[in-house]
Amino acid sequence: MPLIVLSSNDGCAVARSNEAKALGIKMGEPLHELKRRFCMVDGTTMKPLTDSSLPRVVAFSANFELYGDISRRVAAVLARITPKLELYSIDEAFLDISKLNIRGYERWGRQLAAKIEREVGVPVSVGIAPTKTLCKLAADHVKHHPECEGAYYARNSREESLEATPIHNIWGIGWRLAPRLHAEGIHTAADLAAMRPKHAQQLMGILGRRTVAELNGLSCIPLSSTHKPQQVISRGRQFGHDTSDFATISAAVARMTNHACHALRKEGRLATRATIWLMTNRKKPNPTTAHHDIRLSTPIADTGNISHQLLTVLQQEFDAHHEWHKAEVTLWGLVPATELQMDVFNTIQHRLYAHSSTLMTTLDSINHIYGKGTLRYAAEDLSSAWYPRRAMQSPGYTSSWDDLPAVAASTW
Amino acid sequence: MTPPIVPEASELGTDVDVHAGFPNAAVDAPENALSLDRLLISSPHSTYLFRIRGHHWEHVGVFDGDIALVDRALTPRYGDAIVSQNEYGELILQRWHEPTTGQYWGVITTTIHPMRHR
Repeated sequence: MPLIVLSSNDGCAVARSNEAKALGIKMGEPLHELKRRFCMVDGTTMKPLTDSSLPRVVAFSANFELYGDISRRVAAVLARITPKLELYSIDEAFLDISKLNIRGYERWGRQLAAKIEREVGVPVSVGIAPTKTLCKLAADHVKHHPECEGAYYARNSREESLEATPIHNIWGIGWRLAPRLHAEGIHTAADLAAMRPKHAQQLMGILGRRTVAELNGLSCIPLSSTHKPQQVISRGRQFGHDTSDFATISAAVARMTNHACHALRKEGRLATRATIWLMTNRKKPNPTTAHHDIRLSTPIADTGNISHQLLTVLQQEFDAHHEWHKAEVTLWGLVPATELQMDVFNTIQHRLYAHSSTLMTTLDSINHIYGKGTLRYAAEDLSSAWYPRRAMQSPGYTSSWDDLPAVAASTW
Repeated sequence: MTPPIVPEASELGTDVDVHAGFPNAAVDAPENALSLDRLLISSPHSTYLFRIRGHHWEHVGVFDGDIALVDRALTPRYGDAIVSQNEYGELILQRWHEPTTGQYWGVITTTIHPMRHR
């Protein structure tokens, strides 16, 4: 049966099986629109959501815990090949294999794909090329050509299998740029690669010029290290249901502040400014946003302290006349913890900071050992009404002791 | 699983003042702690946990409710217990008998049987 996975909050289709694609289900198609064309079936119970004779499509809510676990397993395999590894997203990674002693890139790639499929249990596509842009094209080629058996090596985009790639499928060419290029008669990877650098820059800026160079085999985008020091740290969520209830929204803000502060502490930095940002549903009339900025009294990374200051401001300025749809907390004006500018004579401030630092370290240690959320601030528990919808949630096969997959001891 | 209320101070990574009668060398050595993970899982990326359901393997000490550690990176040997799929796509326990061209999901390296149930 055709199968899809829904985005966070069960909003839209973000993964489609081949059968689902064949039915014409587009990437990002909203669930409510799918419900009009198909009879949606809850994947966890296999019961249809409606009584209809429309073609059936099975749907699951996203199981981020499972995807994250699988992603980490694949990353573990890749990390043993080379430390020059960039984890680009949950399901993509770049490896710099230039200095590895590999004879026969495609054979190496096929062996890697086979190893990952055997040992982790997921099929992967391996694209090998002199540049990242070409690698992505090569991997995409593998995905649509099973005869590659998991790997493909591309020297440049003039290869027969790649030259006809439509430009919107090329990394770096977005939906805004594509019409402009089509207007100039540039439709395929071959057309793009044949552009003169100055013309490319004129039409698409320096990034476009870089893409053209990469298509021709000239590497312009280095492997970035997985860790990039952040200038701002944001955590935001869409609510399960639009709400104007202050308690619900403050619980959500408390949780987001907790996550943001945790990330801040992991980076070894402190924040001097914080902002709450609220938005109503764009699809409903009179879309509105509201934001509340605060200057933190001292540079800190203390969850309790920052939550308190943010929730105080929220309480003072909260507008309950709107049904809010999503919220985001941003910590900015970040400084490294080691360079804390402190008033040398303010020993009270120094002691408070040292106390906060010890408390936060203890909090983080306990949550690290016993699981995220073991110890938390009460403000988070005011309400769970804001939790994103996950109506068709598959079991936490690798994340919950109660959800381990079963194997039947049925016969000896 | 209910964890103890207070973790060992040494696990918390904070500066701990141990007001003991005399210096306690044990506080400084968390890295040598015996780890069941390290004992039982030699290949984390390929090891998955399953729950045993059914009673037909009790005579070899595998009981309903036990946990099985299954490693996908191992090649089965004669006599191994493996996880494989039956004709309905369900996962089942099987003994690996060579020569065979059967499929396997993974090799069971360890099963865990609790002696006391909560």
